[in-house]
Amino acid sequence: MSIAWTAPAALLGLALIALPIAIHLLVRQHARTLAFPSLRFLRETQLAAFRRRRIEDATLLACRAAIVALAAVALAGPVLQTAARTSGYAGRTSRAVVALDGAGDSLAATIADAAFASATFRRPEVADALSDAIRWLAEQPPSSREIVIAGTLRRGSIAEGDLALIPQGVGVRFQNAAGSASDEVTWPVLARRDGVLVRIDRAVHFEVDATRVADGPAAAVASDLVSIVAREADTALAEAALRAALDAGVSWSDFDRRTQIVWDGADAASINRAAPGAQIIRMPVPAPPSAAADAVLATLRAASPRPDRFEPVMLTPEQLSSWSRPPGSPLDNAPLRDEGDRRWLWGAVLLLLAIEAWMRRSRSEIASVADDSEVRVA
Amino acid sequence: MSRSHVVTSSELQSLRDLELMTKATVEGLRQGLHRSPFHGYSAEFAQYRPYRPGDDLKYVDWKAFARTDRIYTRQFRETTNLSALFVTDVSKSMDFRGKFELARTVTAILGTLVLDQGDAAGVLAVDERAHYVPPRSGHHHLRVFLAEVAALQPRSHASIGEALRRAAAIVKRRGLVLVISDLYEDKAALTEIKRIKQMGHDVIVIHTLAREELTLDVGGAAEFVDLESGRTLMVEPSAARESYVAAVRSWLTTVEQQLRREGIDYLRLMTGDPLEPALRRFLVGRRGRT
Repeated sequence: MSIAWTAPAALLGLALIALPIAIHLLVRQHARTLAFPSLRFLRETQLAAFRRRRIEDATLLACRAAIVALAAVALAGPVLQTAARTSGYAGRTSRAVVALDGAGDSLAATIADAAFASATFRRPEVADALSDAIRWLAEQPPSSREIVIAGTLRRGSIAEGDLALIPQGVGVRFQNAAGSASDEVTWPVLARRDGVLVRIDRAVHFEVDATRVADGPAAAVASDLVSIVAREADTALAEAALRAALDAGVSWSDFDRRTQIVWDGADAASINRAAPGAQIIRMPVPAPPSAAADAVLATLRAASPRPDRFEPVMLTPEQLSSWSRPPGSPLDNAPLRDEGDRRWLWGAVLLLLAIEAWMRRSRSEIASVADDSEVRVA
Repeated sequence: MSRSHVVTSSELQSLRDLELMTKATVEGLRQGLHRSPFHGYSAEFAQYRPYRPGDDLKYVDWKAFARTDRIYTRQFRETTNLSALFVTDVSKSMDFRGKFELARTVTAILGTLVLDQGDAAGVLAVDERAHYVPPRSGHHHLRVFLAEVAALQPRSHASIGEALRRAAAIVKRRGLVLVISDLYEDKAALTEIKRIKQMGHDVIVIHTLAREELTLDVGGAAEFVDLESGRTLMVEPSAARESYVAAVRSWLTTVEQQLRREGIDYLRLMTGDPLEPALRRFLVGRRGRT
């Protein structure tokens, strides 16, 4: 069994033992010691109080020195390193939860509950959150250390390079936010159906392992909602390209405002005439002509982008399993935490203080007896 | 026996102080005494021999002539000067309220007086080792004598009894032995003093005491620590004073009586008392007796 200290600098307080000793010496000097050539003609004055006082003085000094010493030791925070306690360190876990998203945040509270010490870290970059977690774990008292990465574990949400930051002795575990991958979003699509320009509300349902798309009923919209103008020589190609693009369908958000695609070289007069007040999107004349439809589709998609949603392709259980590892042994040099050993010392200090107060009171009674006798013999 | 040849600066200062003080006191004493209080054995009778013409008539023993009808001349051994050995107590009990300084001063004063009248003076003190300056005369020796006296310090393991025992062994020629001590080792010391006296030496005992040793006027209750043994005793002086003073007085009387009975001169000196008058009184009284 050994003793470690949480604040060893406080042991310097042991030097304060000199204080009661100095006081004792000063008081002794005050009580007078007189060097005398010979005691052969002297007889001890029968004042039992003097003898008692000497004994009391020595005991009082010991008591005061013990109070100072115990207080200094208590402030230094002794931690008894018994075999049971050392093995107990491995049985408790300091847990850092790295939340990848809101789902991870809600999981964190549950994960942290059972831990000896826990904290949740969330940063825009998962690598930063991991660094914070590692730093926090290094500051924890001796215990098993573990990082739990919680949230929607989509592919790309965490990379092997991020995990390489984690020291070897720190366990890694993943907690997937159950059901959080299910999501449904509906966005409108502009398309041509049977030669007519329509609006279709397209429902997209994201599952963990699949994405299902269901189109709602089509509703006709203004035929000139989207138009295209070009040089006279390119007009036929341009209109064909627009028709082809709309046949494929494009995500569209603003059905109240007309949009006109203008190929370079188009007559300015025809632009104004065809679509006054419309949103004008200029683009070069596609080349070769066979790429015209794709170019027009890309221009339309850029004008009204689809909602930024990804298909939730999840990290595979095998991948997560290969990244996981159990917590290692507690660090030898982990900062110690008060394990409550000092409370016994404080108890002893309080007890000694009580004894000291009692002895002082008792001594003052003796002193008054001594003074009385001095007056009498004088 | 050896003596220290190393004189520290503090000892030198102490020597200077001692010289100054001694000089002043000795001057005063010399003026008051006129005639030396110490005597050597100047002419000791050795034998008769028949008178031969030319012999000094003052050495003719006329009484013998009357008895025997023959003229004899008295012959004497060679003249000797006084040889004085100061045996000074350097025990720890002397280190009390100026008592040792008194002893040292008295040694220096009387030693200077002896040397000034052309006689020999030496000093002996014994602690862990012996500090001995053999009795010699001469002005140069005064400095040596005073240096040794100035260097003396009260120490543990010092014994006046042992010093006297050694003095008895050292001093072969009849002379004067001056003992300066508080005489707390009275049994051993008195035995040796008497032995020295019986050896034919002239002995003077100067009993040095601090005034507080007689009166126990040392304030309130205190833990008394024996300077020599280190033994402690809790004493309330006001309660102990009466019996203490009586015991000390009885002891002093006994010591003085024992010494005087042996024909030994005894002088008690106390710290705080004017030294010169006390010494003058003693020396004048002693001169009157010789």
